[in-house]
Amino acid sequence: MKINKTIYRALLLLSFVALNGLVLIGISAILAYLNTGAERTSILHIEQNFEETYTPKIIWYNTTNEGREIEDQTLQTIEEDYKNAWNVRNIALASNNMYGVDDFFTTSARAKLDSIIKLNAKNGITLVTTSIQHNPTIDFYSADGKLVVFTDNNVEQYNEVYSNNNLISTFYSTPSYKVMMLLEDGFWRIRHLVEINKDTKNNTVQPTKQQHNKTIASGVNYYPKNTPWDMFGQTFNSKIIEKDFALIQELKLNTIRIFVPYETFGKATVDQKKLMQLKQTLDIAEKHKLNVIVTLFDFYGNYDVQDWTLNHRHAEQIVNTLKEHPALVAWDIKNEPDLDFESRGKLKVIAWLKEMIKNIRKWDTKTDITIGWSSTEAAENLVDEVDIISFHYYKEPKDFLKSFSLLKSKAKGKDLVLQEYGYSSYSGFWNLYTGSKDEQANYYKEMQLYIEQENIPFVLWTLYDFETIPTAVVGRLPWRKNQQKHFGLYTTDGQPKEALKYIKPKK
Amino acid sequence: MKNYIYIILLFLFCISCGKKETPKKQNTKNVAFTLITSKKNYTVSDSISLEFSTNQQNNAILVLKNAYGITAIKPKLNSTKLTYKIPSNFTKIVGNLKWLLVLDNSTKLQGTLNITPETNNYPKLETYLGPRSIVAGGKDFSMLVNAPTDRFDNPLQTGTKVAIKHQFKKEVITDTLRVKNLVAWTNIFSPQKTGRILITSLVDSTKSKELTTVILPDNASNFTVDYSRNHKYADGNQIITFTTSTIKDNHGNVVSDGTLVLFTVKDSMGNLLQTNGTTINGVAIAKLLHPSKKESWTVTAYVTGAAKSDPIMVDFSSAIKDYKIQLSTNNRIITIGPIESFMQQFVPDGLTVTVCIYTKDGKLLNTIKTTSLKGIAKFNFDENFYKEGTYNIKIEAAGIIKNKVIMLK
Repeated sequence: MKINKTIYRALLLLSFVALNGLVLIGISAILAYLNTGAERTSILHIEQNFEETYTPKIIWYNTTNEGREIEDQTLQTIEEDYKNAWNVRNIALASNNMYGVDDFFTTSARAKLDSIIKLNAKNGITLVTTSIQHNPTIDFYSADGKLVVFTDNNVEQYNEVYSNNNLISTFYSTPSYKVMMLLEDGFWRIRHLVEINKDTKNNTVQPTKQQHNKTIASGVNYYPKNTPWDMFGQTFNSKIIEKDFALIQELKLNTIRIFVPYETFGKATVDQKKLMQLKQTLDIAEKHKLNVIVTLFDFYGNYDVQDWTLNHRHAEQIVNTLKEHPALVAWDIKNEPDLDFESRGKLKVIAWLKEMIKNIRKWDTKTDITIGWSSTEAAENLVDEVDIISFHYYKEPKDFLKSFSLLKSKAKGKDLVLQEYGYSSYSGFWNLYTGSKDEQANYYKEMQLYIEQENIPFVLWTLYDFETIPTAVVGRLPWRKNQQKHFGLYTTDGQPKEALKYIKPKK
Repeated sequence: MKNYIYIILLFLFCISCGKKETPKKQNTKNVAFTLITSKKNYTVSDSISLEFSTNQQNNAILVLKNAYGITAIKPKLNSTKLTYKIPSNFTKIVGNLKWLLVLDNSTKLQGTLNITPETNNYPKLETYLGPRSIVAGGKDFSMLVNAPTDRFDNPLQTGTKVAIKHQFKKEVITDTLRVKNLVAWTNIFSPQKTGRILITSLVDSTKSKELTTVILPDNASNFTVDYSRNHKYADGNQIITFTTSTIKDNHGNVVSDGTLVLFTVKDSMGNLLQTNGTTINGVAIAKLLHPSKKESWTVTAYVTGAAKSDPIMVDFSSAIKDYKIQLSTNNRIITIGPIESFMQQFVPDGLTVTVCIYTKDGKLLNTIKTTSLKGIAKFNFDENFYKEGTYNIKIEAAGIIKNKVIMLK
């Protein structure tokens, strides 16, 4: 009886506390709801920090005009809003939804866009579009600073047309536009957009490749042994790199391949500190007479057309910083992009690569461009576009010559580089203790024989064994991770393995 | 028997799990097209159809791209003829219209049509005028920008005529502009006189609304300043009024009401006094109190940054000739006065009287200020503060200084 009473008391007390709690939650939810909504400052359209989502190259060719002289700051705002107008329009055409268009198109211009979007929505047409470069020239800027007319010459545009989500057409176009923009409540909005005939003087000529005399002969893929796949930033240590490069020089190798991760390098706005570290790495390489293959876009796998302009700005900053560097031998656009063919679609990846090559060539006419294909079969892609055909080979050595000669027959006389190959000396639970350092040595003995026979430049995988492998590299599976740890010519303690004696520089 | 059913079911399940096979595409490499429609230039009022002939029946798609967007349309088939009717969303927008004939993601043919705006059917006219207020004199201007469109909101072609008229006072000026870079614009310069310019534009038969720009007076030019006062005596009580001449700009326009005029007064000691006034009908008025002693002022007025007056001199003669000093029996109360003004009347209340007290050695002990009341000012040297002894005192009233040696008891 007494226990019952205590239980009742406890229940009563608890329910009281719980009720109070609920009431408090209720009140706070109401207060929180009433506090939501736009900040009052947003009325002013003052500076807002959006993450950059669209960064095509915009080059103003001429800003002198018949009207008023344009101020730099106004030009900057116009550029920003013009870019935004393109961005919201691209998004609207992709989703058939007019969201956000209000801010960058006037009512009358909006009506035209709306009619097209309604038509497309009715017919199930969606579009994926982006522009790569704009070359505007100011025609007229009004005295009161509220109206501007300019000609955007030869806009490089890429378009994909989908009908009920099936790709029906992909095409490039370089139209020119007359654009009239009005300053309305703080935004420059597009009032007229007229496609005109092209400007006769073409300013988007694709530059031709110039000769340069550095070559890849023999080398290694390089990561410091303690910080694989994480070379830059906090973990950057020039002393270790110095030591390792000295070791590579001692082995009489002349090339290293390093990787620039896309996201940790800051995407469209490249982290200047990391960029300087990358440059420092090249400086050290130069000191040790090593040529460097710089692999861009590591750990990037989106290839979305909407990402293109961001990718371009990322590459542009790196390319422009390093293009004159004496140690630079080649730009490797992407490591093993063919592995994304299935998940992202081959067309999408190829289009991305093509566009990237085109742009890098624009910024750097000297350095060779290549793509690190994961196999000889994949390396048959984009043979015309690259300067050097790079391929990786992790299959049986005995099939190597066959695969190689097949690729060579399709290479249209371009140089081939065996950019990654190697063998793990891992011996443990996950491969039932079948591997060994001797096997690795045998692998290299055989491979180096073929390489010497065919006189192929090679870049092997890799200098050191690694203690840790980030999950992003090979996934979580322990048999993969452990395998990946033992590809080195040296152990994690810096002891040379047997395979080392077969590594001889290319003659 | 039952097992068979299971096996069949399992088999069916297995094949349903298989990868969905893509439908076999027929080989379209050899399909060729020819464009039948030869017309390339259209106006927005035209309806456009493109016709193609082909060697093999197919369902090629026509992709259309103009400045605003892209769409794809299906053909109307008639054995080996394909007809594409361009939707009005695309025929009503001027500029180049790019088309691509696409079959199985490969572009078979492509071309560009040119669509031009209508020239005379109910055009619309947008006008932008700014700045809306300018200064007289012919240097400043308002810019009139006309952005005429056809009835589908397309900018008119380069060279289209836009007539403009602008009126100022009795004069009406007519001008013809031509569209260039989507707009037809002109600068309307200010006349010499203030007022309003009314502006209107006309394209084909469409008129714009009335636009106005206000002509404001230019910067002030130099002017003169004058003063008026009740009498010339420095009694510290009357008020002197300064008045400017009507301030005008260089073109004879009276400056805007509210123009600030700053009056500076330099007295004979070199001290500066300031007062200000704003103009009404070009005249600014400012006031100052008379000095309390004989003075000679130099007055200059400024419209800051634009114009100034020539300096004028204003002299004040002394209103008070002399005054008396009386001491109490113990010399501790000093009575100054009665102080008489220029007509032997008591000076108006409030005249400042100053007494400085020094020790015998000439060390300043204190300065006491008071004001006169009914012509008299009184000072009291408290015995708690000033010990008995001899002091020098200096009395100043209306610029008249008197020294005295007193013996405090």
